[in-house]
Amino acid sequence: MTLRVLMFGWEFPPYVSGGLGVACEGLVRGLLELETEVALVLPRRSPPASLPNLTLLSSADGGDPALPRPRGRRLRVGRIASPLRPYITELLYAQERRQAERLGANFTGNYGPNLHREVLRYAGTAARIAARERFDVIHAHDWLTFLAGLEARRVSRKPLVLHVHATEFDRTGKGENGFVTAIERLGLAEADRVVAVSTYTAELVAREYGVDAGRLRVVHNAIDAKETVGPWTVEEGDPLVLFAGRVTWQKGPAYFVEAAARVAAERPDVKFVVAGSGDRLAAMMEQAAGLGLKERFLFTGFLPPTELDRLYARADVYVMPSVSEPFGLTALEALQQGTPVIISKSAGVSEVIRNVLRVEFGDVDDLASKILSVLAFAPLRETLSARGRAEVRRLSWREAASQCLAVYRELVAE
Amino acid sequence: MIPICLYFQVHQPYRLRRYNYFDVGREHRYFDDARNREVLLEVAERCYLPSTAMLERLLERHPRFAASLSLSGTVLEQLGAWAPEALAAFRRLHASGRVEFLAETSHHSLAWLASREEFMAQVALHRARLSDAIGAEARVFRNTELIYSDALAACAEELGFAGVLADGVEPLLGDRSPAGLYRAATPKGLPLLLRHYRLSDDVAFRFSDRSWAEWPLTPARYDRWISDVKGDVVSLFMDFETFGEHQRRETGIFEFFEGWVDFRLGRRGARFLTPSAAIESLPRRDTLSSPRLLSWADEARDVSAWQGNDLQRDALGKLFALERRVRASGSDALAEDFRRLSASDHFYYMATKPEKDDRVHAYFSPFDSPYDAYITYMHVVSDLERRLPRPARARSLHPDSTRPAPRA
Repeated sequence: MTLRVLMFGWEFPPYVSGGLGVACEGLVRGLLELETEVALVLPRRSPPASLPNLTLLSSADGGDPALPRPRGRRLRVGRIASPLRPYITELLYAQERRQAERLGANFTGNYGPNLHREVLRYAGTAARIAARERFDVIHAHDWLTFLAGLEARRVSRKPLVLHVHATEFDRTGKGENGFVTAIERLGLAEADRVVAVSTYTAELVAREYGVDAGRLRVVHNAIDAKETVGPWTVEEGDPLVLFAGRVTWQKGPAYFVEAAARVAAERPDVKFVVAGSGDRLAAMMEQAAGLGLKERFLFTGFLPPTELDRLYARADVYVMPSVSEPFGLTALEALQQGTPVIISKSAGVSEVIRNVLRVEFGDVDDLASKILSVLAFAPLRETLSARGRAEVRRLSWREAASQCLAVYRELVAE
Repeated sequence: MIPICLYFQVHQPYRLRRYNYFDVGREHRYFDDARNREVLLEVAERCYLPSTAMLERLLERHPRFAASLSLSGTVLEQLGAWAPEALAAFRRLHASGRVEFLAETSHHSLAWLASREEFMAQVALHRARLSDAIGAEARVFRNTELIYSDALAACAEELGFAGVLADGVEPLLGDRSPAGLYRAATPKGLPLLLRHYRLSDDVAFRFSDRSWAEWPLTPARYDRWISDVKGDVVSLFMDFETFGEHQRRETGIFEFFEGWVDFRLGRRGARFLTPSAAIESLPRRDTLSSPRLLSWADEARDVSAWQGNDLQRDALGKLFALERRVRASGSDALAEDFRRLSASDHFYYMATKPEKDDRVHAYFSPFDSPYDAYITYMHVVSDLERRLPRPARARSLHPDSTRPAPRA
């Protein structure tokens, strides 16, 4: 029996700001390979998707999107007119609203006056979509879509799977954003199944949100094989240590700079590259400058995937010093380019790969020593590169999707 | 009835402390004394004390019971310092006259793979430590982890040993049975005793494995397997830590083993032989040759457990590049650090093996990963190098060296 999935997502390549969009695309691709029909609902803000076998369906204006019935297509994408996106905060939402209003965009009327109301409005629209769609199971990703998922379940009485890519505890360390945490608690308490991207996250969800083991499943993120950047396209130069991803508290940028200062003191030739942006970027720049590292750091801002791949391939070591990392897809991307990786032990990705170096987050001494070790010992660099690349080759989104499909089948059987 | 030859290996290494890039040139203490003491005390409690007590009971009950032990120089030293009552138990076993003690290198080292000169020095050092700590004179040699080759056997013969031990693997035996006393491919045909690895691993590895079709193994069934072996001797060689440590007390390993010895010696004509007694009394079979290095470790039964990847080869090469300078320094402290770093254990922790072997390596390793083991080791060796007087010229290597030849 072909299963039909109504999926609420947030971002879709090529324009993604974090792992959520990559994971969402990977799972959808995998599900399509497994003969599953997917109706994907995205916020209107996300630009047109560019998958070869993905058709973008138009959505009506005024927050009243129409999702036509499937006609031979197994993936359809619907869009809800909403400025929401996965890493948005209350403050950013307000800023963007003001900006859009100044520019005269139709950022009024149907849009909520604040983030809270917008999330609720989005959920209301989801209910209207669910009322006229045919599907067997609902699958929603992270807190912004949890309410949409609950609404869809209420009107359709179909089972709901909530997929946890990150929680407020990962983002802030305490789960202190009352509104977000409240939505997470409500969703996770109500969901028929909760899928966590790692055992690390599953344990956090069980501990902090009281999700019982009977409803909790782990489906590790993955990466699909692709052309790696050839070394001939990579320019030679000074040893390069790379940080990539959103520059937020959760990603541990301050530890990276502290470790860089120690490395720089030992190795005058080493350069540090930060690819990405986020609310801690300015602080990170100031910290680096304050430690006299202005000449040693390069901040590239956000990079599209192909450029980021070139940077991975060029770097001598990729560092992910996260405070709390539910998964950490960038580690797989770096390994795919044959780059040695140092990750925090608080990262779900270390459950699926062994050929990496690991540090306790915040242990700057150990982090700096490991960076220096990779730079100093050629056999170490070569072994991490060769074995790491071979190891990620064994992973696939199809496998992750088949585990999601098994979760759907459990629910449909009930 | 086919006689049994038992040999148990007793060893604890000096594990390294947390040591990183920034410690080089500043911190010259390399070993985690607290952790090493803690492990030794734990293992003494769980294994050495109850296992020696079990052997003592068996010796007392059965005049025909005999066994052999090999204690590395490092475990002898640790027992003397931290668990003297366990050392005393080993001395009592020696005093029984029916437990033979074997020769090996002082530091359970890979010296044979890197330097014949250092190897000979460590064998002599072990002889001295064994004599001091236990009062025993070893006649039969076993190399670290049963690392073996024709050249190793020839060296043991030159050193005057009466025999040598190896694993009974196909590269050495071809289609012959391991259940006999063979001759090594040496000038005088040194007697060679071979481990019956299947029957040894039934106890050492599989005993508590609930997914094993034979679980739970009973003394009577195990004895039937042994009685089915055709030949002159069944050699059961394993870690002494099998009893109470690798196989915990709750698995019933003590009851099983003691029960099996009782069962076997309850039958007429059953005998246990020490390696020396086996060498003196058994007929000598064919000459067996292996120019290639063998061992009892991993699926491969070669030296890949310690020299299977670039990290391991790099580390051993870096250490032994310092050998001449360590010797020339005349410093006992430098020599002791150098030798502790030559222990096979450090290299074992750096292995990157497939899943099945890897689980065993990880069980023994104090490190998070083979990479951490390598990094720690390399920084320690860097510090050792800084403490040495000026460099000397490179030397020639002997035939079994796994190190790359020095550049001219």
